[in-house]
Amino acid sequence: MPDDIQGPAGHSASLALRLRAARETSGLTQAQAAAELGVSRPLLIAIEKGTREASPQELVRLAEIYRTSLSELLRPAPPPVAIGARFRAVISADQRDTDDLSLAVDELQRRADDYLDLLRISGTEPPGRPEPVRTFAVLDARRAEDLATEERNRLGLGDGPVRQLREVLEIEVGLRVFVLPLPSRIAGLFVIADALGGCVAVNSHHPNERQRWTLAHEYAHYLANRDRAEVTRLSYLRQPGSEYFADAFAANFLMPRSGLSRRFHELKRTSSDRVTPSMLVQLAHTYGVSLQALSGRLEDLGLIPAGTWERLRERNFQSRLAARMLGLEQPGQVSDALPLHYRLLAAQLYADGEITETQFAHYLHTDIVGARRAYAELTQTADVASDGSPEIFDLSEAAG
Amino acid sequence: MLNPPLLLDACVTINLVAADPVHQIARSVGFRCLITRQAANEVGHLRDTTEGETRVTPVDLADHVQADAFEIIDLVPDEIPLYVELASLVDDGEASTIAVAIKRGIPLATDDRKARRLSAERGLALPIGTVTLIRRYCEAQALDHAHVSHLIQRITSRASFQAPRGDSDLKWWNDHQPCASNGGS
Repeated sequence: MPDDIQGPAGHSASLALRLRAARETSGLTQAQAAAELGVSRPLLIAIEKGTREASPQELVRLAEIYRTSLSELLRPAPPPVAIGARFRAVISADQRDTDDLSLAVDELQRRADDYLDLLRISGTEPPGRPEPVRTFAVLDARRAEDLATEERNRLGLGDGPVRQLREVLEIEVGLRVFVLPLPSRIAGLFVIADALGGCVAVNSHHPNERQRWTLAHEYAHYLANRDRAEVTRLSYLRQPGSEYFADAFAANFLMPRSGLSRRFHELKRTSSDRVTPSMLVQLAHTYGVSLQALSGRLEDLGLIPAGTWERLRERNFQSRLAARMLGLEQPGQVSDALPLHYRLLAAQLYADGEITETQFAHYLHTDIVGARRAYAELTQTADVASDGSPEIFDLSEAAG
Repeated sequence: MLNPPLLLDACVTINLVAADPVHQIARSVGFRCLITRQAANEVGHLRDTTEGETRVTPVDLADHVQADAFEIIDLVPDEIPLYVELASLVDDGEASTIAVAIKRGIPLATDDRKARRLSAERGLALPIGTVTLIRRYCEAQALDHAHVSHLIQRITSRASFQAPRGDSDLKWWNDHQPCASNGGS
C-alpha cells in the first residue's frame, strides 16, 4: 500500500461524499448537523459538496457528531452509496418493516465499503469469474431448471449435494455473501455494487437450511435479473414471476433432478420400498435443505404424493428432533458474518503490517481481543487464496 | 518526583489490563501511563474462560484511572491537524497516540507493526512493547518464575496476546510461558 501522506485536501471529493453519507446514516438533517457543528447550513452544504474544505477541527467534530471514526471518513474512495439508492425504490414499495430494512441496507452498504477498502489497500481484485447476465423471454420453471443444470456443469458440481455452497458462490461465482440480522420476514437481499459485483445479505436469524435456500435464490437473481436490487421476503402472498423463478432455480440447484431421484430410489430400496419420514429427514440433511423444501421438491418430481409435507405437518412431525435422533448434525457453513475472502484478506493485510490491529478489528466488526482470536483461527486452518486455490496461510511474521 | 510519561496505544492497554493488577504494573515500570481518549475508546473487552465457558468482560478504564494506573488525555488544538493527517493512514487510536507522541515528545508503547513503522517514519524513538513492560514489572517486583508464568498466562488467555516475533524480549517471554515452567517445549 502506498503510504504517501494525503491530507483531506488530497481527496476532497471523496471526503465530501463520505461526510454526506455519514450524516444521512446518522439520521441528521443538514440543519441539525450544521447546528451541532456551530456553522451555518449553507456552509455545511458547501462542505458536503466539496466546494469548501472542512478544517481538521471540523472533521474531528463531524466524526463525533456522526458517531463514526475519523479514519473511515478519510478513506480515499467514495462510499458505495449506490447500494442504498438501488434499494430505496424496492423498500418504499412496501412500508412494512421499512425502518428495520433500511438499517439492514445501511449495514450491507457499510460492509461493502469495508470490503472495497480492503481491496484498495491490498491492490487486489475480489475472487470469482463474473458471468454475463442471462436474458429470458419468460421466467418459468423449465428455464430455471435449465439454468441450474448449466451452472452446475459450469462449476463442475455434477448432480450431487453442494455442501460448501457459500464457498462455491463466493470463490467460484464471485458473490459476496454477508450474514446480517435482517427483519424476521426478510430472508435475504441482493444488489450489484459496481466495483464489488453481486452482494448478498442472508438473514442471520434464520436456520442454516433456510440460509442456504436464500443463497441459491439470490444466486438466481444474480444470473437472471441483476439490474435491480431484490428484497426476498418470506411470504405466502402472490409474488412476482422473478421470485418463483428464483425459487425454482434454488430447488433445482440445491436438489438436481437426476441426483436426487437416484438417491431417493436407493434409500427407498434399502427401506423395503417404503418412503418413511426418517428417510426424508436423511435426504434433507444430505442436501442441506429443510424437510419442507425437500418434500416440495420430491412432490414436484412425482416421487412422493402431493400433500406429503402437509400430512407431516398435520401430524406435528418434528424434523429437527428426528434429525437429532438420527445423529444428523446441522449444516453450519453460513454462520460467519463476513465473506471468507474478506476475512482472509483482512488477516493477510494485518499480518503484513498494512493495517493496524484496531483497523483489523474494525473490518471484522469486533474488538481488539475478538480480532486476535479471529486471527488465530484464520491462520491456523487450511484456507483459500484470493484466486480460489486451497492454501495454508503462513502468517508467521504476524505482529502481536 | 513524577515519573516520565509513556503513551500507551489501545492494544498495549488491554494487555496490561488483562495482566491485573494493572495499577501495580503501571507504578513499577517507572512511567506515568497516558492514553488518548481515542485509544481509550478502542480498548474493548477481555475474554475470561471459566469451566469451558468464555465470557466477555467489559473493561472500565475509569476504574483504572481512579486507581492511578492510567491517565486519559485529550488532544490540544495544535495536535489536531497532525491527528487528522495520520488518521488517513491508521485508526483513530493509533493516529491520536502518534500525533501526541510527536507533538509532546513523549515515548510510545505499541506492539503494532504498522504503528511502529509509521512512528519510525515520523522520527520517533523505537516504541516500547508489552513484553518489555511486563518484564520490567516482573524484574522490579522480583517475581519468581511461577508468578511470571501466571501473569503471562493471564495476558495470553484474557487478551489473546501473542508476543511479536521480532520483540527484543521474546526469549524472556517464551522462557516464562506456562508450558516452559512445566518443562514443556
